[in-house]
Amino acid sequence: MIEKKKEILKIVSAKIRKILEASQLDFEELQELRLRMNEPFIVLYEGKEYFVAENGSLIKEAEDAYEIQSGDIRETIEYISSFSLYAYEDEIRQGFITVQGGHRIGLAGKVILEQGKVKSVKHISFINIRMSHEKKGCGTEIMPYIYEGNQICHTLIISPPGCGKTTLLRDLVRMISDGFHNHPGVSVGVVDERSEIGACYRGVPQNDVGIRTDILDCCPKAEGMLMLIRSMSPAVIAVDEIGKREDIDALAYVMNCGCQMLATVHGASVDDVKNKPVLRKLVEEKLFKRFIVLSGRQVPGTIESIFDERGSVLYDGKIALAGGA
Amino acid sequence: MVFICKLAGIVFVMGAAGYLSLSMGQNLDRRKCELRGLYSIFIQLKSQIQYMGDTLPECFETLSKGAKGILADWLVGLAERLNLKQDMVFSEIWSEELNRLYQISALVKEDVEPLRELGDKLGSADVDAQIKAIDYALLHMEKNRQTLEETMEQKKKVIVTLSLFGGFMTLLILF
Repeated sequence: MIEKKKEILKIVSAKIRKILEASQLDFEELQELRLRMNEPFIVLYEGKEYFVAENGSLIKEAEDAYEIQSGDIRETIEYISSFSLYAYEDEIRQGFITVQGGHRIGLAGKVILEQGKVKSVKHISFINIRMSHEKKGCGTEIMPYIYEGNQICHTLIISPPGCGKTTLLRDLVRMISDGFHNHPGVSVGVVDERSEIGACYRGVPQNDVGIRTDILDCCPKAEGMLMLIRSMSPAVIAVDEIGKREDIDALAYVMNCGCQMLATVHGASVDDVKNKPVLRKLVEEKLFKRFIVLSGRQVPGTIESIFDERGSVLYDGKIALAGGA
Repeated sequence: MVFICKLAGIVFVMGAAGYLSLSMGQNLDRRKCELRGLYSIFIQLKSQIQYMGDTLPECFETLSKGAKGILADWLVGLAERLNLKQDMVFSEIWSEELNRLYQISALVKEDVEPLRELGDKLGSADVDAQIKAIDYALLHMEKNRQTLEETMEQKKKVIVTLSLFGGFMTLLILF
């Protein structure tokens, strides 16, 4: 907790640092800090939204909250980028910067376009500091289902946004890499296009992704998968949020190379994936052997069901829950 | 006895005048050397920003390893302050550090002045803008260096002449 507190206090302006120090917040329970120029200081804490007063107390009334000044935003941006926004040009284009500790800083302001594409963001006036929260062990229940003997199956995690597919993927990567029960660890290659899996800071993963994991950070998925095959000879390749045609082509190539795939995709069910023209091939051609469907029904990351390539249900969350109850 | 005292006085006054001219000449040499070092630092800084994409604290830290003497100390101090991230924006730290450089080095005001403008430009989102700002500062530094080199010999002669002339004048007045 002390580490997390230090990491956060190091990247906010002197004034906000003072407020947070006075607040007595438990940084493990802190989820988000929202800084909007000339607007009240807001935190998401223990799942609830609060305004923060100048003396550090969490309050419900916006009028009594500390108003974020332009100097706070400027100072915070300078600290986040180590006084070097130019060094984060690519990240800013994507809208966020990952800092030490794996915390993700979302930035918004005036977007600069070049030939119709986002070139940069200037006059940054909105900052969202999202704390990194690893959930180690969240994939333990799933692990037995993705093995067939000693072989890992091509696995697709299907989930609506915000239901924990990246968190689950990260945990699966960690366990496959370190070894799980009687299954020895194998080398895993991760193409982390948005720095969400490893949350690399200066090339070093801030999240635990296992001892045999190599990460290609900020690399486009299709290109990254082929690069990993050529350079790192991984037994398993993991990618987050596939969706483009070139991703699917690269994925098919990787599977033909003898590598096992772990991937995630946006969707509510296998049928939902089938209905997407680009993704249909994944299901119809039985490229994947396991489909894990997540939802936010109970809590984010609830396992709804696990299917094999023929559509047979290997695990039903509702039955398991009823049985468990 | 009086003659010996006068002789000692002559030696002392002339020695002091000589030392003064020598030290002023050395100061000019130091300034030339530091201007050259500073120029080289900013050339390297430009390529580190352009090709390596390093952050400014990283750049200054790396550059301090290749720099010598006062400039190395200055770069180390600058990198340390930036790494601390305490209560100051870059332009303020930069301005204070330039003042420090001015105090500890042989550089004159016109050598440091082109660097001041960098305080508002370094660290912004656009790499091209960084490069242009550094190029502009380099242009001024190069101009200052050239002017100094062209006039240095002349300046040195003037200093020696004035010091010796001053020494003789003192002697005339004294004796």
